[in-house]
Amino acid sequence: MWEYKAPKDRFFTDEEKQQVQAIFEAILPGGDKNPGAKDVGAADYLDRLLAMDDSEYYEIADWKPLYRAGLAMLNAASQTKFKKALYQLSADQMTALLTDLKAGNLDGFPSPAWQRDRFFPILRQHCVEGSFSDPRWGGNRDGLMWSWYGYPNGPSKDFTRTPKRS
Amino acid sequence: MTEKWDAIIVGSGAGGGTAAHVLTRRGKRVLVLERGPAKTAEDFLPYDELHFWAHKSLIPHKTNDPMIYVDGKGNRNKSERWWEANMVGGSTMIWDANFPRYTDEDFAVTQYVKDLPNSDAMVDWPWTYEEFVPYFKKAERDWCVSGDNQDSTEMESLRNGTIDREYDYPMPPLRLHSSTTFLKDIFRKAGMRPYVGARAINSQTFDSRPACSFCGYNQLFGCAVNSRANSGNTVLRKALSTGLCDLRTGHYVTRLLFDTGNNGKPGKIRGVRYVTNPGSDEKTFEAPLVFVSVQTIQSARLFLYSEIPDPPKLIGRFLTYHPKGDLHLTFKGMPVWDAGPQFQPRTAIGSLQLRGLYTYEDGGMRRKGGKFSVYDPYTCIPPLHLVQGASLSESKKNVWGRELVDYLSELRSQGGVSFSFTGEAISRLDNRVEIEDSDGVKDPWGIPVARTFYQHDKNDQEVSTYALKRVADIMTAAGGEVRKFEPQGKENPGYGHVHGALRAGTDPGKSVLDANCQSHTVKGLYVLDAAFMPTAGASNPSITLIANAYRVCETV
Repeated sequence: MWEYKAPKDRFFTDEEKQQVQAIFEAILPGGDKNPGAKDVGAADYLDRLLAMDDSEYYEIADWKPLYRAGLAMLNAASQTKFKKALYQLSADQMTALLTDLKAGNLDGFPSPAWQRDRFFPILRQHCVEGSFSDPRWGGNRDGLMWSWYGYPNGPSKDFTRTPKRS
Repeated sequence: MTEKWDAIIVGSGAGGGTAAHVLTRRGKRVLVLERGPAKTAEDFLPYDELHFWAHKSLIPHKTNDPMIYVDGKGNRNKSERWWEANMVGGSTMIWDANFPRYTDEDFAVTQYVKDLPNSDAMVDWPWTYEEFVPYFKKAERDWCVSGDNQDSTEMESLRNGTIDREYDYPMPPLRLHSSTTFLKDIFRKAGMRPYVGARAINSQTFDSRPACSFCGYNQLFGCAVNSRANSGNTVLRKALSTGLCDLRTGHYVTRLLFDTGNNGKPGKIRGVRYVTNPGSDEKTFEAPLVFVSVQTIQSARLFLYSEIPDPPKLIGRFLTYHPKGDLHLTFKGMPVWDAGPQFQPRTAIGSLQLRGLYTYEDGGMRRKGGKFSVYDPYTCIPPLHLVQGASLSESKKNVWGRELVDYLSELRSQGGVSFSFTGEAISRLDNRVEIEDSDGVKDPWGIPVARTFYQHDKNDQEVSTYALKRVADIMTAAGGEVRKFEPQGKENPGYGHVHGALRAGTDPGKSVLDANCQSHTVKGLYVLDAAFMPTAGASNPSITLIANAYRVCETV
C-alpha cells in the first residue's frame, strides 16, 4: 500500500505563505455561501508539498525554485502596480494583478509565455489541489471543501460564513 | 520449470494475457515477459486522486521515459504516455473498461469515405464482423463483461439482421446512473437509442471477484476492489493456474532475434533479447513463436529497433488515434444525479453508449462518424480532474476567481451530462512511429525511445465537430446549457485509443503483418495489440483487440 508521509518541514517563509494565501484566495474566493481557498488551508497544502522531495512527484524539484523566484517577481510587480506588498493587496487588486499575470503583461518576469503558460497555470493548479485533495495532504481542512461540494457522499452541505474569523 | 517454451509472449496486458490463456489451454508452454512489476489491488490504496492521478504514479514519467512527439511545426516535445501502465496487466490496469465491439462499419469502412480527399490510404479489413463474433463472445465471457445485450437496436450485436436473441453477456448491467432514464427519453424523441454499455466490470460477484462498489476511481486508476477486469485477474490468472505459463516481471525485451531469409524467402524468429535492471547485460530467450503485445507505438518501436525486414517501408506507418471530442452540459432545474441506493452514487462510473451517429447522411452519401460514451461530469469525474478543467462555455475554459465559484456552485446543485466522442480516423502514411537515433533520447535502459508524427486529417476534426454539435443541439433543445465544447484539434501528442503502425493485410507490398497478424518477413513473429488494425474504427478498441488475440492464438 502507498503511504502518505507528512513532511516535517515547511517550505515558505512567513511572508511567502501569506502571499500564497492571498493569491489562492483570489483564485478560489470564499463567499457568503461557499468556502474559499483560505477557509480550507490551500496554502498549507502547498507549504507541505514543496517540502517533499521529488520521489513523490518529479515536478516538485522544479517547483521549489519556481515559487521562490515567481513570488518575488510577483511581489515586485505588486509594488510597481499598487505600491503595496503582494500579501497586502485587496481582493480586487490581487485579481487585477493575476489577470495581468495570466495575460503575460507584467514586467520583471522571464517572458509573457512564462507568466501565461507556466506560472499562472501552476498557481491555479496548486490552489485547486490544495482545496480539493484529500485532507491528508494538509489542505481541504477537515474535508470542508468536499463537504460543501458534496464529495464523496451527499448531500452537499450548505456553507454559512461565521461572522468573526480569526 | 524447464527452460524450453513453445512461445514467448512480450507484454502481459490485453493481448499478451489473452495469448497466454489461449495457448496454455491448448497445452503450449509459454514464457510471458513483462517489463514492469506485479501489482495487487492493495497497491491502489488508499484512495487518493492526488497521488495516483495528479502525481502520475502509475504511468511512465516523461522526464526519463518519454515518447517524442514532433508537432506540425517540427518542434520536438517530450510526450506523456498517460495510457501506458508499466506493470503486469499493462493498460488494462488503468482503463475505463468500456467494451463495445467494432462492427461492419469498422471492418468495411471504405464505402463511407469514398471521394473524401486524402482517403486513399483507407482500406477494408481482411475479415468480417461475422468472423469475429465467436471471438467477441469468448472475450466477453473470459473478461467478465456486464451489460444488457437486448437493450437497444443501436447495440453492436442487434443490427443489420444479426440479432442473436440467444446470447447475453455473462452478467447483467451495472446499476444505472440516476440520469439514464432522463437522457434516454430525450434521445428517443430525437430518434436515437442510447443503451447501457458493456463494461468489463462486475455487476455482481463473478469469477470469485466482487461487484463494483462505485468508489469512483475508475479510468486512470487501479481498481482496489478487483471488481474491474484486467489481464492479471482474468486470463493471465487462468494461464498461470495451468502450470504451463512462466511469467517473468522486470524483464524488458529490447530486440527480436531472427534469422533473415535468403533468396527473397521470409526469415524465421528465433527468440528475444532482454535486459532486467538498467545496465544489466542483454541475454537471450529462444522459442519458435514470439507474440509481441506492448501497445501499438511500443510494438512498432520494437520492430524498428530489431530492424525487422520491411521492403514496402511500412513499419510504423498509418499510425491512428481516434479523433475525440468533449461536451459538457448542465440542466437548470434538474437535481444533482443522486436519486438513491438503487442507482450509482455520487462516486459513479456511468455509462451510456450513444451510437446514433456511427454513420450519418451527408449530401446523399452515408459517412462514418463515431460513438459517445455518456457520463455526468459531477459524479463520474473525480474532483481534482474536473475542477482543473472547469469550463463555463466553449470560450471560458479553466476558469478562476468568481467564475470558478459560479462553476462549482452550479455543479453541486444541478444535474449535468458529459459526452466523450470516439470517431473514425483517416489513415495517413505520414502519421507514423519512428525510433530515436543513437544520439537521441533514450529510456532508462538506454534504448532509443519512440518518436511520433501525427496530424489529424481535416475530416477527423470536422466529424468530431459535427457529432458534438448534433448532440449539443439535441441536449439544448431539451433545456441543457453547454459548458464545454472541445472537438478534436489538428495536433495529437498521444492518446489512449492508439492503433495501426503495423498494418495487417493480405498484400505483403501493402502491409507489415498478414491476415493472421504474422510478420510477412519473419515467420513465427506475431503482433497481438492494436498495431495490427488496418484502420482505426470508431469504438474503444479493447475488446476487438482481445477478440483478435483469441482468433490468432486459437489456430497458430
